[in-house]
Amino acid sequence: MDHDTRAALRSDLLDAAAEGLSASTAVTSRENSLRYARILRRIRATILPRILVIECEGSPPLKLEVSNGRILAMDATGERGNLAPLSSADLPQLTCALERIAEQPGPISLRSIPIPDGRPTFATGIAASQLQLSEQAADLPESVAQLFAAAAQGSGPNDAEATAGITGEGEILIVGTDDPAGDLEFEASILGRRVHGCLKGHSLGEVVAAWAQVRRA
Amino acid sequence: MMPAALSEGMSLADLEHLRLRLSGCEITMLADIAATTVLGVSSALAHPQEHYDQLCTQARTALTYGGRPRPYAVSASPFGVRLYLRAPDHPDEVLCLVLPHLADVDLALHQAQAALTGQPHAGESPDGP
Repeated sequence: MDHDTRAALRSDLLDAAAEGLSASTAVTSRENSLRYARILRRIRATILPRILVIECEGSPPLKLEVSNGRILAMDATGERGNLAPLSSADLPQLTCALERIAEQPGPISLRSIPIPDGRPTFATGIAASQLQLSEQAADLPESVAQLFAAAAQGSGPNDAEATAGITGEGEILIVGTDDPAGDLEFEASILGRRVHGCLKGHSLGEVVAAWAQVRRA
Repeated sequence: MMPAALSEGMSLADLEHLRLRLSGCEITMLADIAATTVLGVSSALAHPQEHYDQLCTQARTALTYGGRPRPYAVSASPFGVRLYLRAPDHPDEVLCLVLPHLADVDLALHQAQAALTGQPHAGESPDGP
């Protein structure tokens, strides 16, 4: 599939998902969110980059696609006209199915999982915040990651120090200044330490990406 | 019929348009952080109002970090990225974006700035959604 075709398909899928999601139920339980994140990270580690396709048994059969930070579903023919929102009642079932997949050894490219009740097609964005695309993690500025690593140790060029700030574990807050050439200030918390400092010459995106790298280390 | 205007140069349709243009963006919200009032929301999921009120409060906290006003702020956690951007002419009005983990934050900031200044198509990604 060439780039343009893939981009068009992704756009169509996301549009359809957005339409379906507008009527769906939010996942508000923190416990559930953590659970989804853990499961989906495990799946990501096995099957990304790009796309996971899971064929689901049922009537009609479903095809789940993990793409562009979302889990989407469509019927096995690939037609996208039948998308409908996934309700909160479906999430535990889908999660259990994904758990079973994640527990199986070996690469996951195509697996069959049962969908109870033979539910019709649906679209969901339950993983929108948790999934990562490998390609976005590429080309991280190593200097920024090293800077954060030094900050987390309480020393280094940031002059980092413990503060009574607002970030929680694993979080970073980056704030800008009115001066376009001004430094970005940040506060971050990791491994029970809260640090803050300034960063020169890096964009917001670079800092966020580097922070994700530090957090995974 | 003209779309309902939330603020000078911004409507609900603009919020929706911005959200759909940013890959994986879950929420775009315009809020008055001085009054802690949500002016408008476009969301992929139907959240309770408390969720948006909390986002508004978080925006105010982030944009006053260190005891002085900040033009923009980004909060990133294992569960996603939140971007807060003040409107240039009305600094109490803030555009809030809830984005996926490892979103293209630079592009999001650029498009959010463009949306706030009435240039919603500036900075468009050639292969974005």
